[in-house]
Amino acid sequence: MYFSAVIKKEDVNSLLQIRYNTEMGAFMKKIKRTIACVMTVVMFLVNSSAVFAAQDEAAGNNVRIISMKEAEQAATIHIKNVMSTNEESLWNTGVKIGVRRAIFDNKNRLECYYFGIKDKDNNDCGYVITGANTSMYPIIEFAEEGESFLDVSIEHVVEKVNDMEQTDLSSKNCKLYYMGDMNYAVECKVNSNDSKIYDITTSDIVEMEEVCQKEEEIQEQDYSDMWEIYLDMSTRNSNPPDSEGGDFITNPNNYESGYQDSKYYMVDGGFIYYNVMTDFSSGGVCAPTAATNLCKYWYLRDPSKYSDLFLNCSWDDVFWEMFELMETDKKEGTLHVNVPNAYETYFNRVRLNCKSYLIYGTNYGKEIVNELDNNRPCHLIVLNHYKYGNHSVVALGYSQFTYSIGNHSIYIRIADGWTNYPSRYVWGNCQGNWNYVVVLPY
Amino acid sequence: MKKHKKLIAIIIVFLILALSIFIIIRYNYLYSYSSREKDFKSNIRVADEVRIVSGNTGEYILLSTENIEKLADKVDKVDFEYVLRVPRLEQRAGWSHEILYRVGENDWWSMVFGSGYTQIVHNNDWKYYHDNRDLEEYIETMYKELGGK
Repeated sequence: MYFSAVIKKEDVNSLLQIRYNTEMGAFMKKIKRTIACVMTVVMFLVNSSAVFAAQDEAAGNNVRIISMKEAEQAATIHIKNVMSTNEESLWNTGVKIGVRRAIFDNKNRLECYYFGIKDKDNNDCGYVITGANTSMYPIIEFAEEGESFLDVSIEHVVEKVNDMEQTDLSSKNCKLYYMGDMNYAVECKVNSNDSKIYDITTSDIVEMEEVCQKEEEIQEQDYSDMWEIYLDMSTRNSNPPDSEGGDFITNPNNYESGYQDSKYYMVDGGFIYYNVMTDFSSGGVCAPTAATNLCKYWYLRDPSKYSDLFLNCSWDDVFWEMFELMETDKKEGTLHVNVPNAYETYFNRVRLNCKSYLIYGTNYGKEIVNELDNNRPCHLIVLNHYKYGNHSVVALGYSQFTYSIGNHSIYIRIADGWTNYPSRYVWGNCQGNWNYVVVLPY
Repeated sequence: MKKHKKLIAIIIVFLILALSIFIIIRYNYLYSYSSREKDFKSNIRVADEVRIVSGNTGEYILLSTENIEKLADKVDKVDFEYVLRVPRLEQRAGWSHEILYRVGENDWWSMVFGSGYTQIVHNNDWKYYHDNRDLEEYIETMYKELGGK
């Protein structure tokens, strides 16, 4: 057999192109390899010099330089601890770190980090100043509200210098110094040869000749243990209690670390005084109690619209109405399927409208988060929970931690019918299942 | 005909195998329910700490050795009938009381009353049984008599 093929001019060209590409590819590979080698050597040298510099700066002590990322983790953990311990903190409405600044000592060594906090609307909401090495305490000082005194002082100094020197400086031309013992100075570069230094510790901004370091701060202390505690929280993952005998979860931050991002959210006006089951009856009456609390929430959120939910001005009456509508049995509790109908019927009875649905499963709490993001609480039913067993609660908010691999750890803040304030959480990845009831007044 | 015989033989072997597997799985399943009940009854006597928890308040009382004995005797007399599957439509929220105890450092056992069933839980593994009103009322009375709210 004889085979023949006609090779066209384009084919020849494309074959040549392939060969050229192959050769070029090999050549590029060689170049890339060389560049990679050079980069590795450069990186090694840079890292080595950084290590030596850090060691030099530490003057032979075991002082470790804290990177800004680590300091930010410590600041974040501090913010969350404050949020969980101080219910009235303005940070509880949700905040983020908006400004990051390094602060130096008089020898130009990195001394602390300043983190300006912003709220949801980008307003100033306090600050956190952390140490920048292990000889400094992790959290030097913080404020939970308003503009930082550092920002205010820098603005004053810039204004002053601009007036005096007829310049057009901005805060970017300023450098912050920590003089120890919570004393700060700011240096404004007027030109390449001249700069002005001001003590900004108090509102009397005083010009200084040079930055003076406080004596007691020169004696270095070792706060490695404290830093380890803060940073250790950032290397662990989710570890909340999830077995019988475990405690209630009141501060999710205690169980999460090493996450990339976190979010805290609570529905508007969610932090109110809720009723507990014993206010109404004994036995398994969690479902009508949760329903009563949900009505109480909507009533207090908008009394002009939902005043009728407060039946006969008595929460007891609301409870017994819900008890009846849900066909609750004190011994056996409430069938899940009865809950949505009870909401709709009750709302109708008081001449209001409401749509309500029972949904099986919450996808580890993600669906509850989506529901809460609509700024409305929902009726959450946990099943086989290590603490609550089969129990109805009101879901009011959440803490969500996002990890680098895209996983979430979700904690739902609840009014559990056992305590008056919503100070407890349930963890989305806990053992057992969850169902929930959407309650949509309109 | 020979071909058919072969096919029938294969089907019979397959059915016997499937039935055996089904029986083994079911037996294991039932065994796990009965051993759970048995272990709960025996372990309560050697528990380091026994509590009765109220589903109404979330609070609990600790039992004395004497009361633990009384409770163990009472629980011993009850035969629990297992429930292999709780239908979705019968899922309930709300429970009345729970016997919760710990053996050693971290071995937790509990018996939860309410939600239409009695549940025996061992380290987060829940098994459902038909409810026993008599035992439930006994626990409730004991809780109240010992000052529980």
